Amino acid sequence: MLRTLVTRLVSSVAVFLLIAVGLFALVRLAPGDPIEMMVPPEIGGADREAYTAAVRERFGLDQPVVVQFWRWLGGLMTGDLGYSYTNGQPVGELLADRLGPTALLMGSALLIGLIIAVPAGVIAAVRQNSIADYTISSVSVIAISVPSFFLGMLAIYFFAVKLQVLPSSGMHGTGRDDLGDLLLHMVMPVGLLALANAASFIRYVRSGVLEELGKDYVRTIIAKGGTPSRALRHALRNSLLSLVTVLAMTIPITLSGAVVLEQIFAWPGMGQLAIYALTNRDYPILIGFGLYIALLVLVCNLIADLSYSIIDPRVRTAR
Amino acid sequence: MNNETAKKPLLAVRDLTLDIATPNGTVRILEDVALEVHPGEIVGIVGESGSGKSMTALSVLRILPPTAKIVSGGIDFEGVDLATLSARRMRSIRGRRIAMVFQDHMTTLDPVITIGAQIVEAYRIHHPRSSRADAHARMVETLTQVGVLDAVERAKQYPHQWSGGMRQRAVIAMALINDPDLIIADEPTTALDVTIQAEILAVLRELRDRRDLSILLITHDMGVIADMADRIVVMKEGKIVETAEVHALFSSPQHPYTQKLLDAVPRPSAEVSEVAQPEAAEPAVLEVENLVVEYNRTWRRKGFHAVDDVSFSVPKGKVVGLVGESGSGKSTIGKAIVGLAPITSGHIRVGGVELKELRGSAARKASETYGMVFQDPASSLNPRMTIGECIGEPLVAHRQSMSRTARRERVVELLEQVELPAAWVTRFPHELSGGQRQRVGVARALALEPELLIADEPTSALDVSVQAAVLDVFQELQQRLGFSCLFISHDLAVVELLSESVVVLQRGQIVEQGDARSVLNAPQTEYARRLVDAAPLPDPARQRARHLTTITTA
Amino acid sequence: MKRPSLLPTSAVNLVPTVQESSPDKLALRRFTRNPIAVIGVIALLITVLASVLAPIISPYPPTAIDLTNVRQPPSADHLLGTDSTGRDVFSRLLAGGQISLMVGFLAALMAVAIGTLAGVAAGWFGGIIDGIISRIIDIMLSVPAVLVIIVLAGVIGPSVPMLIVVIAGLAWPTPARIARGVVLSLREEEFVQAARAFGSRTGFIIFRHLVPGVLPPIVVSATLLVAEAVLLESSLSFLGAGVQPPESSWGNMLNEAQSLTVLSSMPWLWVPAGLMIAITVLSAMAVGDGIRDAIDPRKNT
Repeated sequence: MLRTLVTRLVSSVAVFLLIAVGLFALVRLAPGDPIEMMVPPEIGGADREAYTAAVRERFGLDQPVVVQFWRWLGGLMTGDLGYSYTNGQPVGELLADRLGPTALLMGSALLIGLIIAVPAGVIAAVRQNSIADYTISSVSVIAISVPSFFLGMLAIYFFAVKLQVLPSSGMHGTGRDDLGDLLLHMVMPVGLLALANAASFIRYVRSGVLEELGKDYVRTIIAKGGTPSRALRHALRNSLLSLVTVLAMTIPITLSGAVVLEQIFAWPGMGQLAIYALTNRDYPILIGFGLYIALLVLVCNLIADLSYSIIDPRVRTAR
Repeated sequence: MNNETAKKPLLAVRDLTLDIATPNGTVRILEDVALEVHPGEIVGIVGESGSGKSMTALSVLRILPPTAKIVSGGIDFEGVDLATLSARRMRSIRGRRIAMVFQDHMTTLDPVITIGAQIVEAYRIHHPRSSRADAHARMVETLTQVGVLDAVERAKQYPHQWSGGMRQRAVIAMALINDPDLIIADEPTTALDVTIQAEILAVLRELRDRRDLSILLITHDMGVIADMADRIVVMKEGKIVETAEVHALFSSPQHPYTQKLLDAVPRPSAEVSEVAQPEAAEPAVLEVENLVVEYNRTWRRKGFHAVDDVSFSVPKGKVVGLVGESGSGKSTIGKAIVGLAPITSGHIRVGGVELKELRGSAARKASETYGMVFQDPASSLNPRMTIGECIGEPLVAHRQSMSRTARRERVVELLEQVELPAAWVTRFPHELSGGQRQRVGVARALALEPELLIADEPTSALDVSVQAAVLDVFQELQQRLGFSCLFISHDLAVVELLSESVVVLQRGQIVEQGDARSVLNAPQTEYARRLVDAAPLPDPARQRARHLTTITTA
Repeated sequence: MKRPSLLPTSAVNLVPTVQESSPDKLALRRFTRNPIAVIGVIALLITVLASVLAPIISPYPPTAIDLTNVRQPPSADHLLGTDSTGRDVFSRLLAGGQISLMVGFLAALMAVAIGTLAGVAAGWFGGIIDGIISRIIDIMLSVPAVLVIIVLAGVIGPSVPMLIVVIAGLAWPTPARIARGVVLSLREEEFVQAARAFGSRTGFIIFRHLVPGVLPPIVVSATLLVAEAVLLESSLSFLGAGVQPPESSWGNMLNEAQSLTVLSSMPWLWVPAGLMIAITVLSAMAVGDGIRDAIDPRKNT
């Protein structure tokens, strides 16, 4: 078992390096010259060429591609992701600054999503085909189908514009940074992201619990004289084992939802930075994002593998 | 023990009628079922699938599917009607007064909780104030009682770490820990090998003798019932057709269905025939020589030998039985012959053609010389193909020049050979019963008129009466068409019925081979003897006499 | 209403049911009896038809600017009003549907093609091939598609073909996993083993035994993927990484309505597009769920 984990770790590092090389190559092959775009249009003629050359030298772009790659890779190893083309700041710092707000958004949405999804999924499974089940299942289908930005705009329309009970954007009101204000700003983005998370978790919980309830050991517990709730506890425990794995795998995916909601609610997180980098064609930031995604996905996969083999006795005790 | 008239019954099922609601309307599952179980008595319920025997057992404990409804009748347990008892009082009876032993499945026990904890749970449900230490001690004691060695350590393990037979002991311990008055055992040994089955049945018998426990035993196996029961209830299609004392039932069955059921059971003959010398002149159709099948071999380590240096042959026109328990490699040999398992070393020759070296079209050509009948009637036919297409598949593969009409004619002919109506060519497998599907499987295997037929447990998924009919058809065809056959089975009686000679396997190796009657009636090796002794005879007098000899010899 | 119960319902399967037709025909019959699925089919057909016929139905060219008629509320001339440059919202909605649905269907089709091939290969060959493909599937399943496409759009520039290819490239693991699972279980089925034992050719086995078994669940997966791709396209166009103006798509129509004034006082600029996305995705999911229930009536999810 230890050997599988080590193999996984090694292959993950290999995949990461492969992605890094791919991203580097992609940027070099991309159409258009970002340096050209960075030079102010009023500079022309020979001045322009000298200026461009200076910028190239500053970013090390005058070196052969192989040299550039080794330098870049070396920087990567020490956590140096290069500098933004548009504002000159280190990409690592830019990303790190945005990590907090996004983690706050994703973390609380994940937690609330789980708090909603587990009981709702269990109720839907235990009362299969009841009105409660249909309601829970329909709400979760709708929450998956209606795009979150549309829901976000509807929410702003009702709560910020019509009822004026919630702020429509940002993380803090002007001149305030108290907790109450922050919580108020969190309600809509976190609520919508939590709803989206819950919607997909509910389906896992429901089908997982249903599957477990159909197994023979549930009947054994009833035959021992156990109450239905005791049987449900056993089934829940069994189905939650696989939910932990799903959860670890889902964390990177919820980042997609976070990006969209950050954009609507002007939440100062990584999503906004990504959109900024997209509209300004800021390659170093985009590469930084690419590497960040790769790292997140690989780490979460490792966590999923690890948690699975620790929690599940069938895997744990297998020789 | 048999002095039951003096005592009042412990359990009395009174004219129980049960319905189940389905999307296609209500179906009557049980009708006027009445039976009694007295203290210290083992009552057996036998019947084929769909007879309602399991439903009867489940309704005693009221663990029925939610769509089931008791229409009339009652279930008296010590004078209390269980059918109308409150859910709370019913729970105080389940596991405490009446305990249940289910058929062994991987999931009968919770897979992520230790065996010990699950048995302790059964105790503490009914003794909530008992201390943990007390419950633990009781668990260890009970496990030891049902023959689990080193119970303290083994209780810390999870179900997947226990073998099927050991798991079944754990389930029995779980049933016993609250000292119940009645145990309902629903096919308790069906998923187990015969030698393990014999051990589990011995545990149950001993418990009855020592604790004066009553047992309601549900089984489809006439041998098990003859071995265990004092009184027998025969069920068919939700109704009881006959209730009788065990010896009376076997010696003079009253109801025609009981007679049919008993007639259908293949019986091993009692006497050893004169050893028929093998006719040496007969050329062998199948020769297996030093066969080794190895799985999971890597460059680093040796693999697992599923078949280890096995040699035998099947003479022309003869049936050879290949017997053994699960893991003996008997099915793997069959698979290796038809190319579904790798031949690691050794030789397999069919009609003199060496199969090991063959690849591609030559291997396909060679597959014309053999046919195979598979085990599971539910999965051996593609549900999306008609019966005609299923039977015609080998013809499509090997007789490309055959016209569509010629193929259809051949399919109809084959259907008639296995005694199925020709009109069924357009039907789909789900419209046929298990026995009918198995006949289609035989027809398909014979489509190319092969010299050799390999039958891998062809009737083990079928009810006895259906099995008897399929075996009849098979035997008749074998005699008429004269193909040679390798008959793979775990059922010694079936093998003795069909085959001239037999090969006994254990853990991939041959332990004994020879004339079927002599091997199965007077086995020479220790393992073969154990195998033969473990298979319960469908004859209460002879089966019980065996216990006496084992006790005296032990 | 039925009493809820924890007990297994497996015993119900003991009851024989009367059937008289091929499994696929039975599934079709069950599908047509599912009202939600039928409504989904109809809604999807109407949407597709409207998009295909857009050039004929559209009252105005979708990109025609009319600065004298800016931000007009719905009227007889402009069914859904006009936007900030005087373009007819109804015409843009139809044109947007064309692009959204094209991206959805093409991406789903490509993803299913790649996924089925990869999944069947993994399931049929097993061993190392299966190990590698399964590992890729596992990792790909947790990739945040929106962010990946933002990065790619930033580097190589956003475009509709890029969108289709990348969505397909990220979505194929779902059908691949399903196809792999089906093939793995089919491979163990005795009828497939029988076919091999009887010397049937591999091509015959694949097309006669495997494909008919893999197809129904793949159709389900394809329908759900259409829903997912439409949703993804609209999110990306909304964020500016997808379909670029002046071309319209349902997603970028909402992008243009992000200011609070538009949001609060001109709902005709954003509500119709949002509703169209929701309706399309919901109907595709209803159809997918309907097919799944029809194929496997026991699994009531």
